[in-house]
Amino acid sequence: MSISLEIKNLSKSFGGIVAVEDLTFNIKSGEIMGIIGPNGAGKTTVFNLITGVYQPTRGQVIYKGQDITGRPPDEIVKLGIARTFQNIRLFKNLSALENVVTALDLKNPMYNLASTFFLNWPFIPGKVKRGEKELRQKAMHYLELVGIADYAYKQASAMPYGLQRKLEIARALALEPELLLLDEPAAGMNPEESMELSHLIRDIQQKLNLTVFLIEHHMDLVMEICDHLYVINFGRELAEGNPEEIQANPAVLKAYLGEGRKGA
Amino acid sequence: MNFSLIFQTLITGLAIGGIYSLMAVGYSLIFSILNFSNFAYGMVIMLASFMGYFAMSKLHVGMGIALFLAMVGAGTLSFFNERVAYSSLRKRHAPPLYFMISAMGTSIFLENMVYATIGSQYNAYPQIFAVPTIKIFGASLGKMDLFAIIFSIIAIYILNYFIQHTRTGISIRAASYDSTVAEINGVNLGAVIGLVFILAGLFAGISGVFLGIKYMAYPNMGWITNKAYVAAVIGGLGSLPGAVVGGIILGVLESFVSVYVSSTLRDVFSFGTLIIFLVFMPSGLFGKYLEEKV
Amino acid sequence: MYIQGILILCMINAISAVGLAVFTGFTGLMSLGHAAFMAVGAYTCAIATKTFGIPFFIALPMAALMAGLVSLVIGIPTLRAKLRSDYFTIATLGFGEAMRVLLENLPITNGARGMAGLARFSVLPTVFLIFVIVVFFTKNFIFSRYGRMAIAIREDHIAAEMAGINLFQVRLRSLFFSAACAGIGGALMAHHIRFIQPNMFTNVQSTLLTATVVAGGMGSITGPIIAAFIFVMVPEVLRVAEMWRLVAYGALLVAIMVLRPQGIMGYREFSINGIIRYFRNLGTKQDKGGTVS
Repeated sequence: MSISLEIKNLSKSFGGIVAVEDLTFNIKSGEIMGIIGPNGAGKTTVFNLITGVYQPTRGQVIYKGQDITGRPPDEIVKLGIARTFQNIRLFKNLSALENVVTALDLKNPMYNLASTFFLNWPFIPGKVKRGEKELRQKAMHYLELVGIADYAYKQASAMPYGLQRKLEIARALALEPELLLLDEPAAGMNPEESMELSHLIRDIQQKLNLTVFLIEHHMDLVMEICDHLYVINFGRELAEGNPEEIQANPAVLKAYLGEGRKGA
Repeated sequence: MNFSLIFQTLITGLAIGGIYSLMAVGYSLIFSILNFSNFAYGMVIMLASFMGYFAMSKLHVGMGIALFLAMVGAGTLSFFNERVAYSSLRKRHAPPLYFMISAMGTSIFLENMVYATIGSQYNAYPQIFAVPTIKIFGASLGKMDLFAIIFSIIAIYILNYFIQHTRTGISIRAASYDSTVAEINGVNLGAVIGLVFILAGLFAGISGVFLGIKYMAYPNMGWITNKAYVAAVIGGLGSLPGAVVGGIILGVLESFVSVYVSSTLRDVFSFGTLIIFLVFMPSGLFGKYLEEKV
Repeated sequence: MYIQGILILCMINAISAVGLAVFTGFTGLMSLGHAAFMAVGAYTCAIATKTFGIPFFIALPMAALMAGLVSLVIGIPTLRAKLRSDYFTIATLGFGEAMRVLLENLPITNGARGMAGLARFSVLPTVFLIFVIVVFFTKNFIFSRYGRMAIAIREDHIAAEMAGINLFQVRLRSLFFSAACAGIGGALMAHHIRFIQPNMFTNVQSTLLTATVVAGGMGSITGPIIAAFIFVMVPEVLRVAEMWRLVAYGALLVAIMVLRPQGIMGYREFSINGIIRYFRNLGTKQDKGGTVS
């Protein structure tokens, strides 16, 4: 199996406060890798560093052998990394379908600026109208994939919370990524819903041949679908291994059960 | 090089720079707490200038009382500016864009109200000192300018003491650091913001009177009150020491540009400086630049 | 003749407002310097036709292009730096002021005295034709993938970046488009009033333009057009003096922000279908009321 993402000695501090320190791990192509750790351990910071939202203080992010450290987010997305957000970030006033269409534009440019201006006349079918129609069909396909096609024309902010998370996944998939980062996809879901979601993630991962990297607090979901786990605490590496190993790791148990350490 | 000309230019620059500092302090104070650019502030200064003018020429009071009246008037105006135009936006957490539009609306309203009711003419203050200038090392300095500089230093010193050492001052600093956290910890945000606008208004009052004495009172004073933003940006938006230093730097630079380059290009230079600072040094000399959080 | 004059003015303002709507309403950045682009358009067109004798139909696209190019001067550094939205606005304000002072001091613009005796090219059919073309282009731009990118940025710029959208490129493109429209508006204005002067293009003018967009509703094209017509026509009909008009505009801006920040249309477009839907909804609401009682 080839390596999809390599993280080398990644560190980030905000004005002297260390968020993550010296993290090193690899994600293999085609696996589902989970990153877990107590609240405030720096998991989302890792995502932000990979996707270019933050610049690392030290260290490297290497994607498919290419150093992408410090590149702007839109370039990183173009290389094939897409993500969702912990605090859902949809285009709130747009419909579910429009949210996905917006993401589709990246890999499916249907027409250029000149035809936008000059080749879109009322009542006359043209390149622009054809392109838009095709994109909408494609977008529908992604909504079906995550099972929210019934909500296609609903305003994103008016959708139920759990479905907004699914819409975010659909939007990320529309970017046609090879590596998908999911930031707490099951947050706010009950155990039943999160199990259903874990099956969905597994299905999609296999159908689209994706590498998945996810942050999650629902341990049942994590243990169910992850091939590999990376555990951090206070911004530092705590353990790495497959779910069975992690579950038996005393350091991990200690971090999760607290043992009087503040902030865990 | 002509030393006495350089010295004279410096003195002239310091005199106007002192007023810029005063304006920038008030403007920056509001920026520090509400985190938006209060474009209406310039018009509060303009109205303060008119208040001082009417107090002295119509009520025939002395400069001290005129200054006091202008400060009270501008403080009140500034307070109501916040209550009418911003407080409801603040309560519903509107984006900064809305605050700025509301501020521009207030600014247009106030300026044109003066045009419509008082008129566009220039109103000169009565003469204050019989012999208006003194000589320092061969350079002439207006007595009024000297008075303005001294008064400005005192006012800024008092403000600084108030903010650093009183309980209310600590509330203001807490609120400007993080208004939500401050509110949770028992700071009455509405009252603190009201107070900040009054304080800013007092500074508008002082600078308005000094500007009026120097350049007369007229509704189209926006070109000069806009310098408050420039000075505040140079010093760092939201920083009070920055506002003071920024004002003085801007005053001196402008003075040198008008003497040694071109007086007509002075304003192009000032606004060019503004843009250069915003682009290359958005935190200015002393400020902090907050990026939006993810 | 009088009515014609008002209509021309309405459409000229609507052209500039539509352009700014693309920028402010769809990328969420506020400009207080668009009067500068109107000025660039006005002066370019006036100098081209008067000084160099270039035909109007060539001078007008030149005006649009020149305004667009000038917008890059301020747009490239400020948008590349990804300034916070409020810092950007302050920068545009400074830029507008600097441009005006520059125009007052350039020999080719005849300084503060301005340029008089311009030919009267902005007649009703011409202005109407250009208005239609500009609205057509704007509509095409907004309801395309380019407009979609801009809207995504307005909605959530971080999510937009993570959807592969280049903030700088999209914002600059919108700014260029809006500046070109403002340039056309300025050029038409110059050949309507037949006299231009730097102090016609102050930050009050910029603010009024922004006010038109805000009042019309950010995220709408028809809203700002309606607002532009109202802003010109109502004071004309009531025959109020210029300064009272501005007093009212100022108060109106504050009132909109406090009471109805979404403006007249707010994210919606005016259309015949929309009206039909509105009345149909009205009907169903009444029906429901009937069944309850």
